[in-house]
Amino acid sequence: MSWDPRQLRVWRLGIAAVVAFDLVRMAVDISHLAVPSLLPPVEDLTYGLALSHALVWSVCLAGVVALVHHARAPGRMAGAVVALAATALLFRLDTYVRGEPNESLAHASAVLWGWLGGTAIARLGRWPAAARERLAATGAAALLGATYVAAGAIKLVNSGLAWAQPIRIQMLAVQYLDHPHPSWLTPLRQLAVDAPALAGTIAVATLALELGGGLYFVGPRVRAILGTGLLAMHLGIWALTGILFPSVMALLLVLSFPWHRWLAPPRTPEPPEPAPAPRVWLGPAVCALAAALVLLIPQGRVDRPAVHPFYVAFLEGIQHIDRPVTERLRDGEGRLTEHLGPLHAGQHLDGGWTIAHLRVLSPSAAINVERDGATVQLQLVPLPDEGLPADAWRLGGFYLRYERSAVPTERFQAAMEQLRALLEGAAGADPDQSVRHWAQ
Amino acid sequence: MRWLHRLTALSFILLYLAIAFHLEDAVFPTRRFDMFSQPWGHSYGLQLVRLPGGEVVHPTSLDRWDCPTDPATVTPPGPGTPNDPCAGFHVNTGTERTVLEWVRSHPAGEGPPLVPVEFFRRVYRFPEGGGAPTTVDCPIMTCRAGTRTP
Repeated sequence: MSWDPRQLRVWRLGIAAVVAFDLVRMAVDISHLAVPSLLPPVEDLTYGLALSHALVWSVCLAGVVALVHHARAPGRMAGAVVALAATALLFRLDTYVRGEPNESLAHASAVLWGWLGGTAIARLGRWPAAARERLAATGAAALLGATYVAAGAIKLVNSGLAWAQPIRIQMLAVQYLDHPHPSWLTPLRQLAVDAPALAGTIAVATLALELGGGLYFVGPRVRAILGTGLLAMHLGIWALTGILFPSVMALLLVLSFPWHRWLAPPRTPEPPEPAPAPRVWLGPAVCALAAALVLLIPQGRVDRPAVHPFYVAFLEGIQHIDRPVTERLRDGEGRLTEHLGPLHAGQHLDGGWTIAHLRVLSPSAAINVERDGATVQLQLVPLPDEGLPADAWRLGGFYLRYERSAVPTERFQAAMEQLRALLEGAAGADPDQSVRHWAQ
Repeated sequence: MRWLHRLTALSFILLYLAIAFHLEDAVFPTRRFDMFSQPWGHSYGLQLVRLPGGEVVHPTSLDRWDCPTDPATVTPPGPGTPNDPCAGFHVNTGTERTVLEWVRSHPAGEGPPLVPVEFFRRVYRFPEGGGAPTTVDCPIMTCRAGTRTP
């Protein structure tokens, strides 16, 4: 893995610049969106922090200064640590004021984490100074690739190989056909709607590029090929939906191509690869230990939308564990349906929510409601043996529950109340029979 | 040396995935990037307008409206019967709201004479096994509309 010192400098500066850009746009977002009357109450300090513009901009400034230090001091870690702490805090506040996470803010920070991790491993392993930044760059490339592998893997986890079918892209394109208004991109979107062969090609290429992102660290040629493909994919996403990922596109542009060669001819021959470093086992061993510790944390400890991780799916595959219906619905099992008793896909609900899709796993059902891209899953499931959970709403031998998510409960409370009323009104005298009939 | 870099990179990727998937996006910046990862339905309704000559345009291309009922009351039709082609389809709430707000906030006022237009939803239905979609136009209401400049 050959690294030119000039290339490492381009990477260091490029990553720092993109993370600084993310810090500033988060601070701008928070300053504009943090309006006291619109913020839902929370039990921690988030509410107060989000409203303090001085604090938000101070954190942003501290992060930017730390990034300047990072960019000017190769092999040092303090600047990256402070910058990442700043991005983590502002991301939390940004998610709070938006009501949902802006995921396009995560790529650059992940890359900086990779750079920091590589530096830390090299320092712990007492690597020669010349070799440290090379491992940092490898870490950065690996984590940029990891963000795409995650995006590809979650599609397989949530939809299986069916995600690669044309209908996925056709449905995506039709939603954005005239969104928010007709534009010069409308004919292109119409083409993706009407041409299943084109839509299928886009779907397969998307999955292949995202999962192939895991090879981004392998070498300059692979990086250039994958980088070009991923940039094309982002342009395609923009053409079909209007959604742009500026930070990660800038990163792909900086990290995928040999700018150091194109912009300036080599003045000196590239330095030889350093000799094998001591403690070569340290990086993988630290990662393995960290991963083991992460996997020991019970999943219920985190308050986020739950998706079944594939390692558990693998264990179930070989052990035939009988999973609870709530988990199976959460993981997308069951059959999509247009109707569920008084409910139907596309139905408007109070609070601006809409029923995005309905799924039945007889005799249970999942009701996915969405608003402005945020999704919450409500489930109509049989009462558990241990009795009705606290604050749950009962309908005969069933009850309505919701999957915890990043969306605060207050935001969809009105929609949930409306669903309760609709279901109760349609259930009649024998709610058990009604629900079983609806969820056939 | 190369193998060591690759092994380290691979371990970084696996650690990232373990955190992102097991802790379910709780630790920034590990994310699963699950936007558009969920399966969607097979149908979608799009609001459009048909002019007297048969030409179909987007509602926002007309900026003078006179409708018999308040556009704010327009909602997708109910579940209907299973074979009803104008029932049970997806819509984008935000887009629908934007269009209806456009119609509501652009009253007829002064200007050239209005013409009768058909305000409708074009419902796309995609076959299960793949292929081009079928469409059906489902009326919302008949309005009178036009533009401020002829």
